[in-house]
Amino acid sequence: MTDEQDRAVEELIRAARSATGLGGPERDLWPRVRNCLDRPRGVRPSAIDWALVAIGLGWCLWSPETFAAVLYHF
Amino acid sequence: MDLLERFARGDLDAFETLFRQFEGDVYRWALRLVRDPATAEDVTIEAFWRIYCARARFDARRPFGAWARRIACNVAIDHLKRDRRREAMVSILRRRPPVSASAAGHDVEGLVRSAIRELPPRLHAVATLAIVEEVPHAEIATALGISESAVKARRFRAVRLLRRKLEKLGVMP
Repeated sequence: MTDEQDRAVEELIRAARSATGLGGPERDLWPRVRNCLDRPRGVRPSAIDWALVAIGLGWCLWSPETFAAVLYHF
Repeated sequence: MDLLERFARGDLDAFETLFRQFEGDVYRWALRLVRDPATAEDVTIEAFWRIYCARARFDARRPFGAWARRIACNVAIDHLKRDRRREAMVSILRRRPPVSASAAGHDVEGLVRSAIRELPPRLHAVATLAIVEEVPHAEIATALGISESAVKARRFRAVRLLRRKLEKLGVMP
């Protein structure tokens, strides 16, 4: 692959997408920002939390007696 | 007390003043990345929400604009990631390949746009900012929180990936 071929790809990209310009938002966004600040947001579980839940569920399905053991400890 | 210090302490009036001052800049960076005005508004709102939540970590001696811009870029890249996952999921559910996988019936520009959307979001962001918007590498580096050489490397990788995709589609010779 050559620099010329890379430049050709860049030209295709420019032709497919035009620059967005310098305009701002069309409406006042402050009221929506205020709403977000006023609304309490719950804690979002991370990907690791979901992975742990999936591992736990998988484990319980793989060996149902584990489920009984987990229930016993709760 | 200084405006930035008041903001860092949670003063909402100070935050509104900063919002009014920087919303245009944050919106434009979001729009450059997500390419849709309504989505760029959502990204701007989410970015300012994150900015307010992270106010305690803000160093009032540093420029607010650069910090806000970086947060906005992170939110926009998160949006690109979600969008890419959604498109992949839709193509799996419909049991058909992504749009760019079949050249038939599509114009070249449409295929190039689809191929760009299928790039990994971090490469997508750099390719759009550097090639389409012609933002200087140094500015992109500051906005994304990476080095200039990382920007150049991502631009190079994005172009090579796109070239391979476009060759497969028969768009490139």
